[in-house]
Amino acid sequence: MVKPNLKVKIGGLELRNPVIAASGTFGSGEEYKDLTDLGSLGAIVTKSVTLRPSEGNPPPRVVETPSGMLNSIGLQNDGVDAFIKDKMPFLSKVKTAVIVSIAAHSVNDYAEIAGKLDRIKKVDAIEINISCPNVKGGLEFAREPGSAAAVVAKVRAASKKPLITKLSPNVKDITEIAMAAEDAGSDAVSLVNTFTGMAIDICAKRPVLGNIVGGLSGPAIKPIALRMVWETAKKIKIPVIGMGGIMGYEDALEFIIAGASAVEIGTANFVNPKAAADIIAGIEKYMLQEKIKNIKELTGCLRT
Amino acid sequence: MIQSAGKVISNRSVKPGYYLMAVKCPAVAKKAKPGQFLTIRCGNGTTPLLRRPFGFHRISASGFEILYERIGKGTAFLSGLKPGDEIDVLGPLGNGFAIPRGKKDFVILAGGMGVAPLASLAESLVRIKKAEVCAIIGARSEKALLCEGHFKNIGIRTLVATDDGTCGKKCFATDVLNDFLEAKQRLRPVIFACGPGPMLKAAAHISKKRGLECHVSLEENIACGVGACLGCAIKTRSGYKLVCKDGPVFNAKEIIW
Repeated sequence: MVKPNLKVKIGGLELRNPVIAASGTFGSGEEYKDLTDLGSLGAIVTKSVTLRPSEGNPPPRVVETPSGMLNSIGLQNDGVDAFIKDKMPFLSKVKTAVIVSIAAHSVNDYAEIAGKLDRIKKVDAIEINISCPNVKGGLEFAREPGSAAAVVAKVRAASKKPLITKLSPNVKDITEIAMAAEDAGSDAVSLVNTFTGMAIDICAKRPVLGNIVGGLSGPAIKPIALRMVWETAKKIKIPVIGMGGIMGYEDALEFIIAGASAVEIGTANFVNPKAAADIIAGIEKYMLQEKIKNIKELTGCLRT
Repeated sequence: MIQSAGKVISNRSVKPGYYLMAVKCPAVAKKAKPGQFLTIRCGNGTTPLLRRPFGFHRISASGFEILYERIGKGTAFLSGLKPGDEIDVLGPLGNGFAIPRGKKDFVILAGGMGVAPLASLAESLVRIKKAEVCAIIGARSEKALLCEGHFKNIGIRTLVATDDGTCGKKCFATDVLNDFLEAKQRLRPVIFACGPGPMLKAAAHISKKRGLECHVSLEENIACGVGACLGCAIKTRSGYKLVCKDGPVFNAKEIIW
């Protein structure tokens, strides 16, 4: 039997397969170089970079919850210039697509970061994180179609790279935001970022997280994320990258059948550093069994 | 670091609620140093979800031991493992205890489960020529006192403090440390400590006051364990550092308590 074709296209970027390591869960790839074959991944999305260094939120920053985890990292990073200087040399050698996630507090900052990255050859695409729940104002751009569109349009003008807009589930109607991103020139949307949540230490009567609230990820959010991906994929023409609690290839396939062209793997990387590689192998096996030659046949094939 | 299958050799209760598990896992053990840690995936389900971190209690060429308290879902899973069972091990992670060259006097300060990673350190210290090692172990009560016999067996002077006085002196481990240092003023020992935050803070304070070198092994909630998620940050004099990658052992004077 011929090897199934797993290649997918996100804007002008072709990925060898649809399985992508999600931002914030995979560092800049280097952290996992001894633990998994980075070259086997469809792409790596790096931890969000901001224009200037950002120290992040006070600890504790992570806590496990039933079938999930809360995090409130708060965009800790050394800024885009340090990222280009310190992280890009390694990423330039990685034999997979590199998608750089960017975050900012103003439309102009988004554009400035994108402009700096536009000059870097090995930056294959930019993921615009308008949905970080852990910094003040981090969700502002994701909440209204108008503000989301303003960010995307400004980044579009600053960069020729394929653009992926990462959407927040903490909104009234995620499909409206997705349509706004599409209209403003985004090449794809990725969803969902984490759900805002909290946990309380009942002995101390204090929040567990130093930031009080954080973002919920992991299997606990999967059914909601899946529903949002399905609803969004029906409304837009650009590719949808689905994520939210994908632990195994079966989860990934659910997202793809619901309409995702690709998937991102987040929390699962912590549980098993080889999760993404296992998911790729699982999808391939499924396609062989189901006699599906091209992954594109699966995207949005949901029978209702 | 490497992700490898480990085989449970033995897994027994050393005291009610406390377990010692020996794991055959040469790939990880060969590279492990005292003070480093490993993570174990506790089952294949989604709860517990994240891997659980443990300090290396003892290290040999073919494997390692972990000493743990059955305290939540992860350790409940572990306590049910039988010899021959396979576990998913990731390690060694982080930096171990750096033993300063030329030093001969050492104090090991342990509080509660903090004693676990200090046993492998103790075994390294006693191998240093003419080393004088004193261990001070603090626990809630005799029921939670661990490793006293092990430290004595390898020839280390061992002092005990319990909160309720059921064993050793009825005081904190750091009170014993203070008395010990007061009585041996000529000694300039290097202190290695692991235990609850308040104990480490007190140890840092005591060592600062006396101008002694003190290394502390810290704990934080850990998600990735490899420095990727930035979840286990602690505040230091040079900004946030990661327990999993920059630690878990830090010079006490670096920490903002």
